Amino acid sequence: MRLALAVVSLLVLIGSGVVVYDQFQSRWQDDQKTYFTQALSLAKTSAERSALEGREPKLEQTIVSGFGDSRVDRCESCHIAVDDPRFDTAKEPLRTHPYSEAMGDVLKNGKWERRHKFTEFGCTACHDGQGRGLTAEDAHGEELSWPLPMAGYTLQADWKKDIALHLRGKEYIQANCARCHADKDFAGTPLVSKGRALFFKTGCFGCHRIEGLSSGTIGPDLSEVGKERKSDYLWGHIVDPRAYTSTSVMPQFKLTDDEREALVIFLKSRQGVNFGQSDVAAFHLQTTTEKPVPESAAAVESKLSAGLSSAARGEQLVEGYACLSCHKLGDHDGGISPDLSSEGLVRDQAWLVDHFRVPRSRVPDSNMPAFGLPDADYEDMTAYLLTRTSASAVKGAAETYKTLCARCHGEKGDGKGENAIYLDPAPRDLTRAEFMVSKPQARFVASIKDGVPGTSMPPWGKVLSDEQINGVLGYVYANIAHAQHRDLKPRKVPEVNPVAMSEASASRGETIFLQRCTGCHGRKADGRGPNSLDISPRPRNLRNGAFLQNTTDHRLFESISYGVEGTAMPSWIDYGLSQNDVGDIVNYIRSLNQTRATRPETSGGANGNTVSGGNSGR
Amino acid sequence: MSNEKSSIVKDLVNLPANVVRSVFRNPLPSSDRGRAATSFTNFFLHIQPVRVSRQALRPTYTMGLGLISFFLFVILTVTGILLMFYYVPSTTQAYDRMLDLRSSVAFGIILRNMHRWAAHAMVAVVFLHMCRVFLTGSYKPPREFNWLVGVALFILTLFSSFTGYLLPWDQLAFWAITVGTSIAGYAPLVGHALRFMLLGDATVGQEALLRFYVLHVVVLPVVLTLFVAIHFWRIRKDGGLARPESVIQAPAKVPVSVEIAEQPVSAMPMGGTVVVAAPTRRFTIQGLVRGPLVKVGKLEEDTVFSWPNLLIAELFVLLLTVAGVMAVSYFFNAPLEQPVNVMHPPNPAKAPWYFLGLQEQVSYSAFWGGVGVPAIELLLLMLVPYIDRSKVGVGRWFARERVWANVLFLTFVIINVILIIIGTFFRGANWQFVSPF
Amino acid sequence: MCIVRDGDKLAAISTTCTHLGCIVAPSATGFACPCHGSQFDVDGNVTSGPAPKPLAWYQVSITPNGELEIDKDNEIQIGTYLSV
Repeated sequence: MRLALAVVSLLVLIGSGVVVYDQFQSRWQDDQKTYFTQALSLAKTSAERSALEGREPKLEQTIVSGFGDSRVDRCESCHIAVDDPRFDTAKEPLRTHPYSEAMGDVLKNGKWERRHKFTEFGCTACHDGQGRGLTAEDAHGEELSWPLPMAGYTLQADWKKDIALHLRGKEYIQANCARCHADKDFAGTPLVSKGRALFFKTGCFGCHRIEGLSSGTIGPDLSEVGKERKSDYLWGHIVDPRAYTSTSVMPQFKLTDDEREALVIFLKSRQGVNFGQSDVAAFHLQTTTEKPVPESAAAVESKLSAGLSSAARGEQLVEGYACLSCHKLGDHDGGISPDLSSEGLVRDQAWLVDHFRVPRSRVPDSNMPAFGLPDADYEDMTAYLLTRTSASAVKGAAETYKTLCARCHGEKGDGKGENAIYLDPAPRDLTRAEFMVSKPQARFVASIKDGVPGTSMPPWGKVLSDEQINGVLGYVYANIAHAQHRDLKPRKVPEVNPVAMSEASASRGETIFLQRCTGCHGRKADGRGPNSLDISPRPRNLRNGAFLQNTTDHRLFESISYGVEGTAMPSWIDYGLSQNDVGDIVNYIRSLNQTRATRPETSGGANGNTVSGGNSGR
Repeated sequence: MSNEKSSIVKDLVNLPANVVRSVFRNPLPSSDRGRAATSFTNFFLHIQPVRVSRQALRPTYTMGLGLISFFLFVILTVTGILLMFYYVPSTTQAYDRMLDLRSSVAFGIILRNMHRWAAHAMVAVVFLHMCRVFLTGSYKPPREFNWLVGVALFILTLFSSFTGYLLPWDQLAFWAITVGTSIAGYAPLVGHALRFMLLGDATVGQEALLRFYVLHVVVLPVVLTLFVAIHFWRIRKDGGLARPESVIQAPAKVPVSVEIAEQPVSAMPMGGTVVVAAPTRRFTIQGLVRGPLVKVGKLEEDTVFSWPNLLIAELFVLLLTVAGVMAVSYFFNAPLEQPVNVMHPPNPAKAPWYFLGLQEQVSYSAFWGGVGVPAIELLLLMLVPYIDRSKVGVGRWFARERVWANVLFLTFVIINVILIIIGTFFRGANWQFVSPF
Repeated sequence: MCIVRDGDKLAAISTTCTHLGCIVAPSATGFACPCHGSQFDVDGNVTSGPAPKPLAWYQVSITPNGELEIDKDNEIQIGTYLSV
């Protein structure tokens, strides 16, 4: 036991020694000693020499309190030569910090005078990183839990490699410049300005709110996103939103890497602080109830030539605004939203104006935001779109399908077209043979010719002749559904609801609905029941007023009583519902769609079943 | 005159020796009597018996687990007090202080690491100590009350660790405590009030931080110290560590009056030999006390003097514990995650590892998993020495007479360990099963 | 807190999961809790997972100067909307 005691005592002694030694030997002392040696060789006067000879490594720190919370920056403990102009070609960490006129530095009598002095600004106010760290790993913010790694320099270990390689570069520092230099087109932050312009040009402003700039409500508020998220998240989310938020409806915009970089820098500069702004101004900004007019409105309008007709003005507006970052028109194709080339044949003026003002007034589950642009612009853009009547000369049925249908329904007809993930209800999967043969041909002809109101399926009646429509249908049957259409036995379903509409009937219908239907259709009958994500096609949103108005009682009865082949909708008469029950349910569904206003009053308001919040605080 | 002067000089010359002798009244012992005297004339050492069973000293018997727990507590107290000089229990300052400890404070990293790893170790070692005590049947009468004190100490240790867990005020801390206090909220009748009392608010915030801080640095250490003191006292009163009764004594016939003559003793040579004639003393029996027999004049054969054997063993365990904690703290950093963000719970949000078994249970049933089953387990634990009263199998590991008790206990232990393992490695986002490989 | 609007009716639903207190996130079918996978529908009713109770609805009212006031100490029945 005594031997064991001796051994363990020795261990403790050695261990303590190691700990103590470790504490007092650091890299920064070595760096400073190197500096002293090198500076000694460059010394010109004996006074300088003797000062350097006697100099011992000392912790260098600057305490800065002008930028939010008081911060202590110890970067100069390693970067000791940062203000010594003789070291501009030395190896890091002993290199001089560059001077430049862009940063406001002034060359006086051959000597540079720094505008942003380290004693006033410290280092992390511009470069980020962890000021109090005394090892490179700590100070540069390499540790995964540190929220502010050095901008454009430190790549944290858990960043995806293909994203990380874009995130190096001095330009990322501009995001921090913008925290003081927040003016719109500040010369020193060109990428912030570019990112800001892209924020409007790409259409981000429609869904996202940034204080003072935009008031979108569909996506999260980005006013402080630069503080909340790191650059890799911002970049990655722009590239593929669903990789980070699986249920996101954010489009995957077609952007070049340069554009993404500018956007990331702009977003990183949104930190909810503006050190160049007075407290009073900040307070006004925070408490104003006025919605900011999107910058692009003024910017775009200022570029318009004078004396244009409404349609010509509309053309320039469509090109100037963000429309084409989603839609297709002419040479531009965002790849996200429908093709507008034949919009004049497909929609009328009332529809277009309403859709501009509040897209959900016409397509209740549309993911197009209400952009809040001036009404006059909407009128002009409508006038322009009405002139888009050039459906490309389509020849055969196959080509018709490929040009007009495939964008949504997919080249294979499986409902997985380019636009499909952004559309609600999703485009029909035409490969479902059971569905395709269960409905009369007339119904499909009507869907194509007159469109399906309340959805994104447009009326092609003015684009395609009846013959062409039949041709496309034949093509779909033969090549996509691989089914033969056959005559159907007519089912015994009333044409009109035999149960009269009454409050009692609707109330009974509600009871049955709550017992049977909410699993898929949801408690609110909006198609968002707990099972809804597991079935394809998704359950119908029964609050889609435009759709319901266009749906006959006969069709509702048929769907409920006999189910819908090729979908998860069961045949409810097999589960014991009587015709009266179905009648009550139909009355309930109708009652849900009577009190909703379908025409909005102002361009900013959004009616309907929108759940907004999530980030609006607890 | 010259007499006084020479006596003053003599006093000055003898000053160092006199100082030492006044502090250490008993010199370093060189005889058995001296060794005995050292044990009971020293303030710190008299908690220990004069002689201690050799069996109790055997490392394979106890593995020193109780001692390790105690020394970990000492390490925690010392490092804790040092940390208290730097830490501020404010939601706006706490995290920054943690960062400062890591980067700015001399020895800050090692200090914090030692505190953290010693805390985790203490929970584990206390648990292992409890297992050792059970599996050697050392809870049996007359040690039932000490077993209860031990269970209380276990709960206090868990609670100490839990209150300390919140103090860094990072994401890990915040959500672990959110989950932990919500489990507490499931207790019947008192759950809501209990949770409110812990948090001082509806949610974890500044109030909770302050309360947990006070509990962690004042209330719990004081209560723990008290219970530890009772625990040690009880060990002595119960006759030392439990060991098999190898010797059955016949009751000794004791005369009514006993005369003990003391032998003359020589004091330690420090300026000559002094012979003191000890007076003769008479002792009268006051009464007979029930309890373990104190054997007068007849010693168990397998005991040794506490000084120096027990001391050396304790010192060894102390230094081993310190060495272990120091080594782990040197190589592994205590975690510090992102600062608290109430809008972004991590997915999954996990309680500290010793509560993960509980959290796993809670994911099946909030009440039964979080309150019901643990309460039943705790109750059974406390009742064990009152249910199992037979005195067989005490002091031996896995005694065959006690096989069922051991099997039952080990079953519970293994189930809990498995639950903790599942909760730690096999649960991912949304508490779904994931493979850790 | 989640402000819900159904036409001209308003409600405020708590986003604190009733299981162990994590913050639920809006999901396609209502709300989902990232901690133990509790799922709620758009009204806050539990559809799956270990949460024992539905999400709390709080009293909402309109102040005289047109602001929405939510009283977190006052829980109301699920489905009670404020008409504006």
